[in-house]
Amino acid sequence: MNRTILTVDDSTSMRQMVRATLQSAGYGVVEAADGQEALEYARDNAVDLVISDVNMPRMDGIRLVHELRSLPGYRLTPLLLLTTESSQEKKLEGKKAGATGWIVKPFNPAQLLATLTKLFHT
Amino acid sequence: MSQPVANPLPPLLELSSSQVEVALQNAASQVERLANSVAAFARLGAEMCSHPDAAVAAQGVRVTAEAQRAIFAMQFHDQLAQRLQHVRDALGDMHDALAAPAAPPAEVLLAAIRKRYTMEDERRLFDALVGHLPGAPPATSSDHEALRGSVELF
Repeated sequence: MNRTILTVDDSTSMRQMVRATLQSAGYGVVEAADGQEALEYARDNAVDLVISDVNMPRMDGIRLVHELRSLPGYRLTPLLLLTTESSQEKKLEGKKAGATGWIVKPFNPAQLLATLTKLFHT
Repeated sequence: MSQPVANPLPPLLELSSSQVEVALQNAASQVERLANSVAAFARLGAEMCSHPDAAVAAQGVRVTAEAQRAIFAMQFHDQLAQRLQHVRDALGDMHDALAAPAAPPAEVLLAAIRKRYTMEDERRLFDALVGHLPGAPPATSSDHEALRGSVELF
């Protein structure tokens, strides 16, 4: 089954790195440059998983997770936050908003793919 | 040629902020080009891995491993860019405060600068050099270096 992943980051180079990693494993990739753009896409389209940065203009990743969880089609969708932010306080905010997991940048491609495999098979 | 201003500090802060911004913009376009090449390298590796010829597929595994190492290393630019953006914004804040007719209280300026940080080592360094601000959450002892690439599922 071809799964589609929505990646959200205001850094073009980060989006390129995440896309390269996911496409090399056969995943379909859709990109958004901030939380607002991602939310607008998600309102009309289903994806299998979301990987989002936290600190972004217009709408940050924690707010995005909160908004996505209020959409009927996203209640069970895995939502991963991928960020340079490593404070426990922020991590707790992400967890409370409904995030599935927290990954500290820079991500290890093999480890990210292993995490996705785990999430898709549990 | 214009005369030197009475107080050179505000324009010097503005100059420094602009220099950081120019450096960020110059690097961004080149990094995007490099990222495209790395992405193409990763795609090539993936294609080779599924090649029917076992020797080609084995080379594909090596290419993929190298591409993954490059993807990991490339992300340090994103981290560097964030740190420089915080320096640029802090310089801008200091310029605005010095140029304003009524400067904001120092604690307001410092809190605004610290609030922008996205890495615990930035907050720790700020607290060590400037002092911990009342009401600001303390930086945790773990540093970003140790947490790089960590995955935590809730």
